[in-house]
Amino acid sequence: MEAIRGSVTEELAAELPGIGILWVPVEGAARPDSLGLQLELDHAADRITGATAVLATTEPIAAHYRALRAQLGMDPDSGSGTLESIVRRRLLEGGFRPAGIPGDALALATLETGVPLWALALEPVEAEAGELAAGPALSLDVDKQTGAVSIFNGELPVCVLFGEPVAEAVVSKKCRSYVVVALVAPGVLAEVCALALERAAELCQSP
Amino acid sequence: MSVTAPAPELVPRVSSTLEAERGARSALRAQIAKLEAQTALLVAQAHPVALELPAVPGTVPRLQPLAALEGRRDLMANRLEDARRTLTQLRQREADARGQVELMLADPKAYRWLRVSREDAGLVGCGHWHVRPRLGLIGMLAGWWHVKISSGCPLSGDSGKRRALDGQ
Repeated sequence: MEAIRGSVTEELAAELPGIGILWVPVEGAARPDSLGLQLELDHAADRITGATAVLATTEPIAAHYRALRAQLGMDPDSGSGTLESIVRRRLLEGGFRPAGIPGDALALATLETGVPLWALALEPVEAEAGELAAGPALSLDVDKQTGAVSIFNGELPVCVLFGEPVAEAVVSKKCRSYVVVALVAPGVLAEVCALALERAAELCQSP
Repeated sequence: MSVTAPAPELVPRVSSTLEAERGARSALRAQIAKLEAQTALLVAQAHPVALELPAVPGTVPRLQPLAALEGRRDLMANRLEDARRTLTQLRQREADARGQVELMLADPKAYRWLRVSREDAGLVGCGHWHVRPRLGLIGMLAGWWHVKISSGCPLSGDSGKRRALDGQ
C-alpha cells in the first residue's frame, strides 16, 4: 500500500523544513481488537518496564518528535499518539486494556516504530465544480482562528497536531472507511513513517 | 487616509530583515532541540531516580515568534542546568553514602546503629547496611559491633505468598 503525501503550506515548510504528513486510506469501521492484535499488544506490554518509559524519551525517532513539540511551544512530555504517551498508558494501566481498532492498532505500530499516528474519519472534500473529490485532501497548516498547527481536510481543521481529532473526525462504528495519518517530523525519514503507516493499516485490517 | 506604496529601495531591506529573522528562529529551534535531547539523556542517566524537573508550559502546537523561542530556549537551558545540578548533588550524596559504608565496615563500633540503604548508595534493589551488636544485648554490653547486611527485597506478589505458604 502506497502512502499518500499530504501538502504542507509554504509558511510551515519554510519555518520547519522537512515537516510533512503521510496518510493511507483504510476500509472498515471502529471494532473490537482481533485476537492476533490482542496477543501482540500483550507481548508488547510485557516488554515495557519503567526503564523503557525513561529510555523512550531518548529513542532516536521519538527524540525528533520531542524536539518538534518543544519547538512548537509544547511540553515535550505532552501530546497524544506519541510513543511516550503509549508507554505511560501501559505503566498506568498495568497492561494494554483493549480499546479496539483503530486505537490499539495505531498504538502497536507507534510502539514498534516511534512514529505518532492518528486515525481520522473524513468526508471527501468538495471539488471545484461542486462535485465530491475522490477522497480526502489532507494538508498541514496553521489554523487561522486558534493559531494551532493542525491537520486539515480541504479547508477544515480536523486534528490539532499531537492532539485529539475533532468530534466529526473520530472513527466510529458507523464509518465505512477512515484514514491513518503519520506526521513526518524534521529529521525523520519519510520511509520510516510510511513503514509505520503500512504496519498500522495491516493491523487495522487484520481479521 | 491614503495608502502609499513602500519606496522601492525599502523592499529588499524588509526582505533581508525577514530572512535574518527566519534564520534566527531556525538557530533557536536547533538550540531548543539540542537542549531537549540533553535533558532527556540526563533524565535517562538518573534512572532509577526520578529527577523532578519544572514543567514546561504549553499544550497547543504553534509557530513561535522570535521572542517566544528565545524565552523557551532560556527556560529549557535553565531546566537542563537544574537537572545537572540535581544529578550532581545526587551522585555526591551516593558517593558519600558509599564512603560511609566503607567507614562502617572498617570500624563498626564507631558507627553504632547507623543504617545506610542501597538506595542511598545509588544501588538498585532493596537492602541496607546496619551496624548492630552481635548477640543482641550481650554484644551491646561487651562492645561487639558488626555490620549486618540485610538479605534483600521481601518476596512480592503471588510467587512470594506461595513460597511463604510452602515454607509453612
